[in-house]
Amino acid sequence: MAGLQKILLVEDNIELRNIYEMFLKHRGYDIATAVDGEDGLRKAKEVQPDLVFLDIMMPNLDGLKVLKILRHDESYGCTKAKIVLLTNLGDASRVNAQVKQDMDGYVIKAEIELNDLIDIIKSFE
Amino acid sequence: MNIRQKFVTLLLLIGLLPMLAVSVIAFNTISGALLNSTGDQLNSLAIKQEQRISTLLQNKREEVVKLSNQYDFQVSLRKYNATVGKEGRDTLGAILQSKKVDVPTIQAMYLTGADGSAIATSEIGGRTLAERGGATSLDVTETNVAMRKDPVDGFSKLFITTAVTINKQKAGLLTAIFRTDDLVAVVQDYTGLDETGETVVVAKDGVSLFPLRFDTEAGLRTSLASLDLFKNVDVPHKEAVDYRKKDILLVAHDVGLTDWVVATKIDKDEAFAPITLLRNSMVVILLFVSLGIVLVALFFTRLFTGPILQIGRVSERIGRGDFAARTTIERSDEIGTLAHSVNTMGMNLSGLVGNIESQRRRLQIILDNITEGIFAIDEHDNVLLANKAVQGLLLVDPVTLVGKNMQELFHMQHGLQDFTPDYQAEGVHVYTNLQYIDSANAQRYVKLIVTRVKEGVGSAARAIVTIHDETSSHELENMKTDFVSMAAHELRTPLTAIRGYLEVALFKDGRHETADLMTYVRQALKNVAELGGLINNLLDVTRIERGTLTLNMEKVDVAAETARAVEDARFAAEDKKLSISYAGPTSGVYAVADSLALHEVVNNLVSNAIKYTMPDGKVEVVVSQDDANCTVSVKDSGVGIAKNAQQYLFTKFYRVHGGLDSGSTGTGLGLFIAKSIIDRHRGTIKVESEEGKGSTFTLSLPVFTAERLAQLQPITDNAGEANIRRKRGWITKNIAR
Repeated sequence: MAGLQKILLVEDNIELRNIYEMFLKHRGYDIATAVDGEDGLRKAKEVQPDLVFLDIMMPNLDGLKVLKILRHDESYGCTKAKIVLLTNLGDASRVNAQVKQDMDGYVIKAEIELNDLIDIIKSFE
Repeated sequence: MNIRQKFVTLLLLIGLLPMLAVSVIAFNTISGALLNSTGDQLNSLAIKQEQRISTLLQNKREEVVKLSNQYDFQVSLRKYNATVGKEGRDTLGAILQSKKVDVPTIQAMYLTGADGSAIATSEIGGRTLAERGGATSLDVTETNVAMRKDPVDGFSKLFITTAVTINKQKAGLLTAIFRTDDLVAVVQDYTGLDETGETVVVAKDGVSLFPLRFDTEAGLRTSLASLDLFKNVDVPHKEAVDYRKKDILLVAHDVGLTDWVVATKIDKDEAFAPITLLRNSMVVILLFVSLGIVLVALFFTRLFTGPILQIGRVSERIGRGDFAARTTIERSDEIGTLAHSVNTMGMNLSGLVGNIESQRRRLQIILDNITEGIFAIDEHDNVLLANKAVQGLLLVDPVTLVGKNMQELFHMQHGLQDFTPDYQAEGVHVYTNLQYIDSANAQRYVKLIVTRVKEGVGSAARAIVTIHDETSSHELENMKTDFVSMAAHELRTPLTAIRGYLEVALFKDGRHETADLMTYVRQALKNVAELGGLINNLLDVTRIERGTLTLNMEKVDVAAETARAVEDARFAAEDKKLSISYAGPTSGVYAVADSLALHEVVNNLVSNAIKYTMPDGKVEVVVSQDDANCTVSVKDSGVGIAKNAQQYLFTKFYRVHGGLDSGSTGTGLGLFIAKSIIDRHRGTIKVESEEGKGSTFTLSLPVFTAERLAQLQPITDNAGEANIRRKRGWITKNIAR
């Protein structure tokens, strides 16, 4: 698999996490998972992902904070990583200019098919 | 000069002036009268003495004249003159001696010839007439009376000499020397005069004849001469200054037969002693009367000015606002009327001011109890008045705001722009959705209404600014908005999962192992149920709000229900690496409850405990029972709940970890629904929590009794609805694992 070698999925919902993990593994991606924001930071530092799927609404550090840290704190080594936000929120009001600057994409989970994830991944290769 | 002094002066004038006038008139009159009477007295005494002296002198002269005309005396003298031998001298001597014996006052008698030669004397062998100073060469035709000092004994004697005429020819001179005792007695008899009264007989040449009480002859001579007594002897009395330099009153009269004057005098001091006494008495009386008048005036003015001063003081106090001040004067006169008027005025004022004050207080109460902040401002936007509600807006005492500028008090924003309301605009202006930051650094949302006060209503206020704090409703709005966003999120989550499982099922064109396929479908269904549960929650809220939530009350085994709920949650707990435990009986704890609703509540508490507890934490569920209640407690070792958040915990839409930022999920409805349901069971639900240590939710339901069941059964049992819910509940339960 060219380009993106490692994908980190940060998602607190166990079922979605399982489904995404199952699907992406099935498609041959090397995927690591984290159950919340703190776990996400830990895992990011550990696996040095090329792409992060980052849920916004999570306990223990929400996705926006994790985004900011990963993007600007070099100690995690992920400032260059692609980061795509996942959410099911009703509106995009909290995606402000700074967030737009930091992120590489924004996905409303309820509105995509699993195959769309592949398109997203491929768009970065 | 106050009233008192004026009154005292007036009384003194009224009382003393007439008295003074009367005194002066009386004094003058009396002193005049006294002067006259004293003069008269002096005069009458002088006349009396003059008459007596004249009489005495007359009598003495008579004796001498009688002898000169005596027959035997004339015969003897003729014989003496006719004879050469001068016969008859002895006879003449005998006659003279006999006369001396007859008249005791005669001390000596001498007969001298016309040529002055001595003829005979009663003093045989004694001094001659010439030696005694008598007149010897007289051309006396009548009787000569004179006083001379007698060299025989040194006393003053009265020499009376008369010519003896025989046959119309001067035949000799007969001289008798009288003692003056009788005259002295007369002069000394000045009865009627007082201590300083004196009498003097004095020759016109100024020689005092009978100086008796005048101190010295020299003094008399000098003084009397200077008194000019003898020019106006008929003036009843004269005032003069005597040799002692004393004021005297003096009267003088000529004494007949002689060139003598008799004078009487009295010291003016003495004469006027009664009048002096009168004057002094009057002065003393006047002094006492003045003192009396002053005392009386003071007493009376006290009677008047005391109350007047009191009334003055009371009026002043009333004037200063002490309307309770009253005079204590009880009098029926004009002052009493005045005092009463002042009291009435005080009472009326007190009532009036009381009315105004109570009206003002009513207005103040109204103003202070209006929840909107109200400012009255002047034409420069400066605060004239602020009501109590303003404290809630600015967090400062409204009294301190007076004089401050509205623009400086409120830095308003509209949207994200600074905004300055026009406080002086005509008419009424409403500004909505304004924001400012209060002194506690909290964002406030307000509606601001500026109402221009009509001109000419006599008010300094130019505008009334009403500020309605909409922060709380704004927050509610925010909560609702958040809720919608959150609800969408919560609904989408199972939806996403359903979609995911279904897509996974379609992988490999559906060629999966049957077991896997079954798992995907079951998971999809589970999420469908969750979705349904969420929707039911939303509907439950609506039912609770509308009061149409129907509970199917029956005898429920709380222990069994709770134990099952714990078992249901075990999978989720383990997934999160939490330990979950159940303690207590697994059955036989009965309460009156709707089993489905109870399950929902317990489920909610347990899933919350799992949700807010970190991996490696634990959740302990305990069921117990006493005589009255069965109790379910769910204890976790999670994040805990802040003290200030605990009170809002069971409020609709309230989510402890605030807005969406915190990353926590949930609709904020679970505990609201739980509490509503438990309230309907007549039970209680409460929380004890410490941040960082964990929370314990305890719900308590009354134990089952038949009576309670009867009580809690709804009057109209909406069985259909309950059945539908029950059926859905079974679906949930069946599909859960």
